[in-house]
Amino acid sequence: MIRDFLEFLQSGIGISYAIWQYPVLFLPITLLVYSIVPQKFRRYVLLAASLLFFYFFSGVLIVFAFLAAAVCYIVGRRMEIISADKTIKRKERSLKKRKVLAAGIVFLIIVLVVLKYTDFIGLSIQGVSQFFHGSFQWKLLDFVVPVGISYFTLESVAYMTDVYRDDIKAEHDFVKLLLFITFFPKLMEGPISRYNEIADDLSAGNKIRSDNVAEGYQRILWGLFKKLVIADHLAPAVDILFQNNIMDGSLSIAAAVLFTLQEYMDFSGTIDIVIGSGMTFGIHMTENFRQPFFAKNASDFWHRWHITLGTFFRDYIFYPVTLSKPIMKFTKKVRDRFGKFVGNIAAPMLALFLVWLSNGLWHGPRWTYIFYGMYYFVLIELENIFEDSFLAFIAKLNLKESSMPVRVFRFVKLVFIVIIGEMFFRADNISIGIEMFRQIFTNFHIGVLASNLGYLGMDFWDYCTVAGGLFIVLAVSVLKEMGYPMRTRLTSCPIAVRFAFWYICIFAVILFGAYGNGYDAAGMIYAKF
Amino acid sequence: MLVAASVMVNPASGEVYDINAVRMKSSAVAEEKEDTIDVLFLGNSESYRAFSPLQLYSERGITSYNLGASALRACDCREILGETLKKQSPKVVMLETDTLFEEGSPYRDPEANLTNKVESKLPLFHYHTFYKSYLPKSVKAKDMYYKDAGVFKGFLVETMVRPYEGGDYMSLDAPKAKIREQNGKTLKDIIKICEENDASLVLVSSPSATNWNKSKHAAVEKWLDKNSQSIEYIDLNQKNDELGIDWSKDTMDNGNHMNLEGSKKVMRYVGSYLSENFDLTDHRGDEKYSSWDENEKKAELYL
Repeated sequence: MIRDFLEFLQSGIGISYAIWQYPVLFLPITLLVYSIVPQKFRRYVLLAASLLFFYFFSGVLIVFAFLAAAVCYIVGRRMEIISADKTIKRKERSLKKRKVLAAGIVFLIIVLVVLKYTDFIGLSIQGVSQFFHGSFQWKLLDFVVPVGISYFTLESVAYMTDVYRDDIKAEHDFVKLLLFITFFPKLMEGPISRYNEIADDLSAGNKIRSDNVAEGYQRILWGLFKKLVIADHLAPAVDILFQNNIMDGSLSIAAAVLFTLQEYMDFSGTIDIVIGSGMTFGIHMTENFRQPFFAKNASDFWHRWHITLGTFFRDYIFYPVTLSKPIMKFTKKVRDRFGKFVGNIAAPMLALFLVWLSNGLWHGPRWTYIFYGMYYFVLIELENIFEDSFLAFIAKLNLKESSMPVRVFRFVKLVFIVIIGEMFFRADNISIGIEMFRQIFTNFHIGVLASNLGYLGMDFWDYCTVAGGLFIVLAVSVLKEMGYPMRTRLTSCPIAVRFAFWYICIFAVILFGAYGNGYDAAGMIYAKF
Repeated sequence: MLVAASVMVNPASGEVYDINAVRMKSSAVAEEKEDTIDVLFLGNSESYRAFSPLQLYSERGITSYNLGASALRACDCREILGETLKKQSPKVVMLETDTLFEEGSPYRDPEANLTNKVESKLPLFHYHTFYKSYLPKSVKAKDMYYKDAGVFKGFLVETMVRPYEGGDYMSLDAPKAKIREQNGKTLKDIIKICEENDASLVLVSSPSATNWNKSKHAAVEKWLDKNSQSIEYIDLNQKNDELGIDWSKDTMDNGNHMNLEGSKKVMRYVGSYLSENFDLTDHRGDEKYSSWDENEKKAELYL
């Protein structure tokens, strides 16, 4: 019976956090067991739940999570030993530590590359060979990739680097490290956490508090709303539109817009479920989204979208590269030769290039993802170059930066940049993406979209549901952007009002969610990374 | 509150799977004049792609209606049949057998998983899209089961050709198939409903190279041997040559469903079978059925 129950749990959890087995069975059972065991054993409950969760997805590949934790442990301890060795000169200690760090990072990156990118590299070489009429043929290896490897590899790199920088102490407790790597809410889609943010709370075994559980489940409910009511309704339409028979620019735009909405609702909704899950245990994880469509420009957008990925690249690629001696030397030379403006543009260019190349590659072994990274690299560089000119231009028109016309212009520009980027991200290959983009300008007929609305896998009520859901999300986003204290206002309402509100929310998800009869659970988009 | 809401949305029979498809098909067939339909076709998409009432009328003057819908479960077929028989008195009911192998009938099914069992206790989770049946007229008129139903009587026309190239599928080995216990019980209900309404039930398997196989055929025969030997069963998959099915031209989706050309061959055989085995009236020339002649002209498929 236990085996049947576990298999049943796996059948749901192995697909998505939004399948009911997770919030209604797995999470509450874990909370219950956690709350009844003595405090010193609670971290083992979290660890057991996390390892079970990992196993549901990837079975024996759980060994890679142990491997990452082991590398972090060994590298951290080794660097600590080197730091403590006062018989060696400081410079030499630093060099030794750097070598150990490099070995640890390179090892984990190689594991990631071998598992995820080997076939991509082989097929790319095959493509180049064929281009030059060569005969190289790559035989697919089809490695199975363990769940969350892209996430916990970055977390491991961050941990080891933070130990190297003496930002944190090396961890002596392997269980604590393993729990940090495998903590089940963040395993599949992040957020990419820093060790000092959550590790202590994870291991502390703090008491379950009813207000944390309430707040956590409210956040989970919000995430389920975004994923089940909006994202999963859009899934069939997005699939249909991105099939290789895109024949009109209006369908390209629809594909781009709908995929952007689907991806945002799916990813941010899942993050709400993740953060809510952590909250129930009193673990506070970093926010990963902050109303990204209120951004001023593409650069600001990436400070609000997948925030923890951006801060990882900032802290572990951008700053180290920009502040390295060769780059600083180069920056000084350029400034001296070409002036401050050019120097400020050129200086971070290499670092930005590496950041965006890494961003593209991190998403997966596809040229469309690399194109996506380079797309933002070029656009952000152009924004940097022309920002001052733009400000001078609007000043000449007697417009303030905060004026409505400027804000509308920035918004429209941002939306266009984002949806086109997402269109390339989702397209099967770059050629299709380019063709879809071309058709927007050369073959646009709104009537084609209008006549196809009934063939996108969505019916009348699906469209109404998505529109209503988006309106609600927009309203909440505006309030959050304005800093309106929604939770405080809600908790200060009479109990009857609060209960009515939450029951309406629960029934909204039950009635309008895209699950069950007629729907397949649309797997989480960012879980495949 | 969940229990109360479940009570409110639960259909009276308590065993419907796709409530929206059932309501849409039932309301479409309810538009037909009372007691004008002599043959009913039931089943899932294998039914509505293969059996054309308009062709049957055009060639033999026999009136029929296709009650098939996509992925329809046996319990839904029973529900639609029950609703239809309130206004119609058909002499023959032809049930396409693929529906007997559809999974997911959630209630009282010993093979149901925990999700199904929760749904059986709280049907709200199963029928949570019940509101989709309530549509503005302008939208309802465009629903695929509604918009051309007045002309094509539930048959869905598809002219696309995507060939099947896999060879003789009925001779291939296939995993063992069986009719689920719940579907078997539902089939008994359908037999009983037909008996009570003086309609002859015939089981028929429409040609499907990728969906049908000898194991499913054997499962149907086994069930009939055990439960109801008097029910006639015709497997058209064993008569591909007799029908003249050309899998390079007669399928819309690489062998799963017939296209229009395939359905014409199927209906020629079915029409011949019905004429030879049942006393069905040729209504051509009857003023009461003049709308059928008009539909035939509108469709321009069988003139």
